[in-house]
Amino acid sequence: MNEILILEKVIKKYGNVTALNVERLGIEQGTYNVILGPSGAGKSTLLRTVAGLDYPDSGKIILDGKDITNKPAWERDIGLVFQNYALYPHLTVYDNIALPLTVKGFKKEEISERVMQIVKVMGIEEHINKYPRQLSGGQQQRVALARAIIKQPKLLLLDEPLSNLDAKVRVELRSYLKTIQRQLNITALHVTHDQSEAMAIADNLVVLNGGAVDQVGSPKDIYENPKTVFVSTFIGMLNIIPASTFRINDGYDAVGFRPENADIFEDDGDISGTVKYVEYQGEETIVYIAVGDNTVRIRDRQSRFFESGKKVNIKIKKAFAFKDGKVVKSILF
Amino acid sequence: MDDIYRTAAHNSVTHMKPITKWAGLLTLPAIIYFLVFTLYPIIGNIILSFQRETLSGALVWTGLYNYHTILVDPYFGLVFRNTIFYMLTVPFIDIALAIPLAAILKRTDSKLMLLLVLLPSFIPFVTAAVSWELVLNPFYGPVYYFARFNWFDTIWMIVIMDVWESLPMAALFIYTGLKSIPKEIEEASKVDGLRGIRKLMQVDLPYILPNILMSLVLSIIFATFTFDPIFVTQGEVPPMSNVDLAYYSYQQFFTGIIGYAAVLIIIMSVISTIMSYAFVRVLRGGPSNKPSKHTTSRWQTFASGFPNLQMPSAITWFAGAIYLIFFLFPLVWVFLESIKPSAQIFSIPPVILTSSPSLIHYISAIIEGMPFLLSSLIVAVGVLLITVFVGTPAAFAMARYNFGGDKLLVYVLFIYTLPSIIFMLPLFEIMNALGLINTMWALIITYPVFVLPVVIWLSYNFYKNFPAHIDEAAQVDGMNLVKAFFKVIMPMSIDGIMIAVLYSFIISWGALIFPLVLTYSPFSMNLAAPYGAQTYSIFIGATLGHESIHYGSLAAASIISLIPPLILLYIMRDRLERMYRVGGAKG
Repeated sequence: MNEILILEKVIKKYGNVTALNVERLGIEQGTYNVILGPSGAGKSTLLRTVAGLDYPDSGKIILDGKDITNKPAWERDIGLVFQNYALYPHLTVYDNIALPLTVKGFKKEEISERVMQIVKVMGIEEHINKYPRQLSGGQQQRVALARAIIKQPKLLLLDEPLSNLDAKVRVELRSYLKTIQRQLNITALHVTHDQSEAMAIADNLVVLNGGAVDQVGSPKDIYENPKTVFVSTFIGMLNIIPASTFRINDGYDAVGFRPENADIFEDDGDISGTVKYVEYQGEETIVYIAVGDNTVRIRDRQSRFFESGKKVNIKIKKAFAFKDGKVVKSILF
Repeated sequence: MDDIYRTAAHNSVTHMKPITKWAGLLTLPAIIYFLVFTLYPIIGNIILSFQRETLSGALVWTGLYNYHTILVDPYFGLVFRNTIFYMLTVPFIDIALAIPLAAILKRTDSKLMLLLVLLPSFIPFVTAAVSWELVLNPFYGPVYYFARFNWFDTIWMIVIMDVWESLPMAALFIYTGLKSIPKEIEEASKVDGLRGIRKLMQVDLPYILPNILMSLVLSIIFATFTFDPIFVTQGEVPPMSNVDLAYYSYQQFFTGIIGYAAVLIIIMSVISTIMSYAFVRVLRGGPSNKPSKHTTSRWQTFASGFPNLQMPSAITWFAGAIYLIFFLFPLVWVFLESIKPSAQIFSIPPVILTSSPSLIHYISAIIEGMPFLLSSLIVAVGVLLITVFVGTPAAFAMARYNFGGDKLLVYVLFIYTLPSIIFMLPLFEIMNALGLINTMWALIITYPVFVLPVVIWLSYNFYKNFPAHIDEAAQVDGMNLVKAFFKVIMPMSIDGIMIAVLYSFIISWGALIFPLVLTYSPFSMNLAAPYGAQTYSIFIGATLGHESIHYGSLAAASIISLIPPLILLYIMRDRLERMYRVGGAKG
């Protein structure tokens, strides 16, 4: 365990609204961390307090053993990639990337050497004479990334870095981000609201809800063992039905199961319902079934088609039992 | 994009045949006005330059005689040198002082300071010149105590007046540029470790280069055609010592040498056209699309030599205070002067704080000035009505339906930057032919030459960001475009038009050249046969000034002339930044 960044009891309020309330969060050296949450969950606030663009009302931020809580941005050893790139429009690609080094007082030759090295790694060496406006969104974001890591910061912060790009480039660049992070062995803290993006690149996922950390873990762990109703519904699809629908009743409020963790049978099952309609999606169909007052979705790998109004039974393989918004038990049938 | 947020800027409709006709109808009055009162005069000057006025007042052809006069005119060299002197000194002093001032304004972020700094630019130039004249008087002015030097003997006196009047606008353009730097860029430079002067040099100044160039060009235009302070100081400075082309051409016109005046005006037209071209290029031209020849720019290498230090807050405020003293000093002095009893006005050493303040000068400035005040007010209101009802529909058609395309817009900007002295002669000829000389009509009809372009440009920028669905809804509801504009659009744009209205009023209020040329006596209160239309600016600049030297009334009249600009500034206080964030200034 080598935690390079630690947040302790960090609280940030805007007026009466608590934007951020982190009991403790540790980020390990050399890992790719994704902060995930819906808008208003405090993701950006967390990132900005770490960057030094906002300051917490109380608590401590420790970077590589040093307390940086009240240090201005320029005294923290961090790089930041902005959602809209925030490149200097009047500077060439070269000057954009070189700027942090000129501030640190590096010699011209050394700056040139380091810039040329990084643009090669980034695959943007043919653009160094161009101005940002002459580049595509994806290229601009690579330049922004280069500018953020040229000074070899202890921590790389990425604020929704892929949100301004179109879908194709986004997928391309996200695997690229991970590759670069591995290659240079940087610690990255990446903020996004896109769960598929988060699942795809995170070593470690931090789910924020209402300013607090709900759960931390690997994407697989969080998907399979969510600890709260919020996490289980925010990551992946989940059907929630009252516990009373089942014969089991150990004082749970509700039971949730994922659409792929259930099968449809005509005769036998745990619960029964009526088919409402079917969404055809190629390799599978999503079947909407009314169970009591609720509608559940079932993923059918055989792409079967069901008539509306048909009575069917559902057999559940795995479910979560909820009480007071928390997952109290994983049930395997 | 959500339909609600669609604006003209995002959605220039170009291929709409039926609507073009209606858009044209909205623009027609403005176009006719421009053709008659701006395009004709520009051509008229050329014709006049080949003509000469005979003793009987008739104009006869003289070929190149007037042009030849330049060569034999003993004053031309001096006048030309003076012009170049103003052109080279004022703008560069302006920019050199405006950049630190803008940085201070941004750093202190004080709205009060911004308003006080801007004050000089909004008050009539005549008032400014008169105030400085009172301040710089080596015997009766406050300089007696700390700079007793014959300021009237030096041409720098005009430079001081010019800088005082134009520096605030230059600073405002640069300041709004600085404020328009996106938050992300500010944050990026923070994360990259840039601070204070270093950030200003490496990021801010290059980023706002278009704003700086624009204020430089406007400053050059302003300084090259300096008129008001030269007019005001005539008779108190050595003859011809500070005269430039603008004033010289007026002098020639005044003594009846119209052909030669036309030649001088053509020279000025050429100079100002070059500058207008530069202005339009900077304003309309986006950044070039070529990659740089070098990977790194020399400026960056140069700028990275500056210390990466934030100026201590105390120094910033101290520097701000020095600027404020410079800007407020003459106004404070004029106020002190205006409340002195007559006996203390011409005392040596000058009285600073009078022990027996009196309002006697205000009473005389109002009573004697009443005919002038009436003319100024009536003319300003008349001009305001014309410019708003002619200008805003045109601006709307241009912004929303791209009517007239770039050509019309560039022409408006061209007229915007031309000094009004250029139109003096042909407009005089037109008004003379109409028999309107020395009437308020002459002023009301001609002032829009320099007011209309400002109103159109301000409203154009307003309508560029006006939601498009409003006139679309009006059209679907069965209104034609003209009806839609006056019934729906115009009432909804009171906010934007208000500024144009006030601006129009202020420009008219401070005008000097046109009333000097087109009127010769104060308004006669004889209502049976009214005539005369000299304005309050003439009252201040000539009647009380070099014609009679009533310093007390002069000071009081100057203070009175500040009232409309103060009202304007007060109303605009919250929108100043938005207004001057002119398009085309971003990378």
